Amino acid sequence: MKERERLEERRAIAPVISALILSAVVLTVGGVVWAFSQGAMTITAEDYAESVIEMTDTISERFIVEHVAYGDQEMKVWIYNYGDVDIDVKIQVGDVTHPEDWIEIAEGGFADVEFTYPAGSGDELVIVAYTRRGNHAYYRYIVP
Amino acid sequence: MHTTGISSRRGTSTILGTLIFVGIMFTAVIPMMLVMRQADTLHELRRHELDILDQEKAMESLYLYVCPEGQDSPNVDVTIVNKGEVLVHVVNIWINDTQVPVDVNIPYLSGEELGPYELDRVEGREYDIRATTDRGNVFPSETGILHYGEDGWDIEVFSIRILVSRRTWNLHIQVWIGGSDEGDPYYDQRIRWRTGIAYEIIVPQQGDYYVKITRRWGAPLFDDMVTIEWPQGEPWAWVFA
Repeated sequence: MKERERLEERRAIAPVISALILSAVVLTVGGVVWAFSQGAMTITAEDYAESVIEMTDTISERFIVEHVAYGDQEMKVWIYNYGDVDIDVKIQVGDVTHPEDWIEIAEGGFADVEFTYPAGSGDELVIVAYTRRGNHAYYRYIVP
Repeated sequence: MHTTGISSRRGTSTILGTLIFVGIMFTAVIPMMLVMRQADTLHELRRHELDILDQEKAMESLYLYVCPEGQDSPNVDVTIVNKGEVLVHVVNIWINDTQVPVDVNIPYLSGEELGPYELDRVEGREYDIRATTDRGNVFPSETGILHYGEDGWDIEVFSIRILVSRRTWNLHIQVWIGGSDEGDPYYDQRIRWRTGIAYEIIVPQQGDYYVKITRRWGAPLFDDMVTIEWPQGEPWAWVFA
């Protein structure tokens, strides 16, 4: 009889311990999931925001080939960045691209590029200014 | 008794799990969605601003009039008239391949005179003058490319163009320099035979002229002042009689 009572007392402790263990497991797993999801969601949100900002910068680019001068096989191209974002630009005339490195033009700023390009009087050239973000500006020029 | 115990324990875990789920929703998912939504809103806002910028760029309408100060003067004045519907900010004046930075705001339907700009006056040389705005438009001169020749600048010929709607046998055309018909007229011509329809009277400069067109009988066909508004306008003035 005493033995039975002793066993019943022991069984009364077991549910409490098991409830604690189950709760601890739930809390631990939940905490891990919480931490993981917070990190994942933060990274996802940051990536999304960055991609949207990059896309916004891309559509915000506004620039023109403002003027072109040519003489003694030397071509000079002026570019005007009238947009609200800084741009990196290169110039392409025919198959030739200038310069090797990107030219950085701050918002509202101007830049000029000078390079050698063989052309004859009356030649019609299409001068393309393109940015690192992939926007283009075209200028039709007839060599004087 | 055993069944009740297990159910109770599962209930606690369910509550905890629910709390954790709600916590994740409020601290991770919803903030992420808010950040994404905010980014989308900013993107849409920027797109809207760019649409407005592009529209305003298309609405810009500048008229450039380049005028030497004299037949042989090295100085030229550049008059810019804004005939568009938006305020225009001019950032550059181009004289051939020379960039001259300027900083001028021109409200709509008004003008601004810039310069004088000194040119080198090489005989036979042409001077192409343009203006760049901060919205990325480049406007050429309305008066064309300026040419310096043997006799100085090739500038506009000013005239008064007269259109007579009725043919008559006798017409008297008089033109005075200035705003009134006092003194001797600059141009005084009687056309006795059957008259033509159109006449062009060359005048020395832009400005005000008083024009009187009369017939032998009847009221004058025209009796008023006209103005050649060049360089803000054409180098001629019309008279409809």
